[in-house]
Amino acid sequence: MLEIKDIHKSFNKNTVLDGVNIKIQKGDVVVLLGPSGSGKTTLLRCINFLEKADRGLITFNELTADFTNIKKKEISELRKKTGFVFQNYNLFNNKTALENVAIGLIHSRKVLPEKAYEQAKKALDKVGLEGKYDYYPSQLSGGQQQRVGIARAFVFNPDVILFDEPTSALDPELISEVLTIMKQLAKEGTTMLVVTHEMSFAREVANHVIFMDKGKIVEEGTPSDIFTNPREERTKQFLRRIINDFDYVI
Amino acid sequence: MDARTIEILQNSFMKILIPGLTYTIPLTLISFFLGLVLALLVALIQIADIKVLKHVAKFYVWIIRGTPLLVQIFIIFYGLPNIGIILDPLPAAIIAFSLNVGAYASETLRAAILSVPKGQLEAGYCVGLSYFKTMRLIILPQAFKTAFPPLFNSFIGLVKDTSLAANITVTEMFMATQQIAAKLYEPLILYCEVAVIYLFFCTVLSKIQKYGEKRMSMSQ
Repeated sequence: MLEIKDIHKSFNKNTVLDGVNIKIQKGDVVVLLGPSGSGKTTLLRCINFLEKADRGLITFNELTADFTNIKKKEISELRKKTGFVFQNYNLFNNKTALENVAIGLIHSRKVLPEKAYEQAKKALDKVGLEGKYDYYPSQLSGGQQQRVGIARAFVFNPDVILFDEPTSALDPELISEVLTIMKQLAKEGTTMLVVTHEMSFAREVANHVIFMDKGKIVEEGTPSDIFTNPREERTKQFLRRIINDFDYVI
Repeated sequence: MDARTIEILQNSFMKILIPGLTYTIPLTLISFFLGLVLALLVALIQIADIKVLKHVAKFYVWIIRGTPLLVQIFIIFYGLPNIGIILDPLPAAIIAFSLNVGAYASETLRAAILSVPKGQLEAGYCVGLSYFKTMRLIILPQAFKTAFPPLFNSFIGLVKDTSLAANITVTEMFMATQQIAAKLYEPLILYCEVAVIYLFFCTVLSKIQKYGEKRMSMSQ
């Protein structure tokens, strides 16, 4: 459904993506792991054209395009089929929770406001925010803001939702409320590409795990491949550190 | 205060206040509104990085900010007739004040727009909004909140700057006072009186500003 071929991206002379290939089928939950600076976030941002990739091909459903000469119209078509959840939520500060979720429906999908608000309310109910419709982002906790962010992403029924470290900015206590919702979405068959450091999520929910380092894919496979039988030394090293931290917290 | 002073103040009060209400305030409101529209255009041209227009915008801000308002008024009213552009005093004043407000307020707006985090624009893209829709629905309303106090500063400044229009025979409040002062030969009393009326106008505006800021902080 979504395929990225040989994507390259550098900032000035710093190569961030060095020929990455990814293939996602409908219903997949793919987790991207890797140390900071490995290019995971940039990859996600390139897929949604928040960064312009230097080279590479993207295939999304029937559409295949070159990152370098893709048309504006194609970009907006692709964006309409993807949802994006940001690390720092990026809710619209001047809009209420309900407006945040409904605004894209009204102004880009041309849904009638009445219907859009109805859909938005359903989405907010689903993430456990009934009764918070009229709250502004500044009146919500980080976890609540991120749940609005998730509702804003899935309210369109996108073909795939991209999650960029959705829990990294949250207090430890608030992480689980966000992960619960992501697990629920995964269970319902939502296609997801997730950058995260939450190993429990990767282990329990993902059906495919990709480990990246220095702009390349080092190793990929099922969670059990990666977590119990990593082949590459770099993967082992990374997991040892992360899992130690993880155990320590518990 | 002796009886004569009180009599002068009483007799002149309406003669000063009425030009204030019929000239100073409309002149301020119209010029500020036009200036604000111009400022928004100039700020957006620079932020959206529109090639040739961007340089025109920068040039305009440079000229207006770098020359005295009084000189600009004189060029427009006394200078332009030399090249066949003859304007009545009031339109000349409105043009001069609008251009002036436009330059200063464009910098205020530009800074305010840039102060809105980039993530807001990215989130707009991600929910399918275009650049201009995100600007209109998300970025500008937030920027306006930041820009509100400094814009109000310019507005209050403009109330007082309109007195410069007296130099090109616009019979606004200060011009009216000058005429009475010349007749009665009581400059101290009369100029103090007009100063108090300006002060009153500006005090009311400050109150409005406070109220506006309070209302805006309630949403978001």
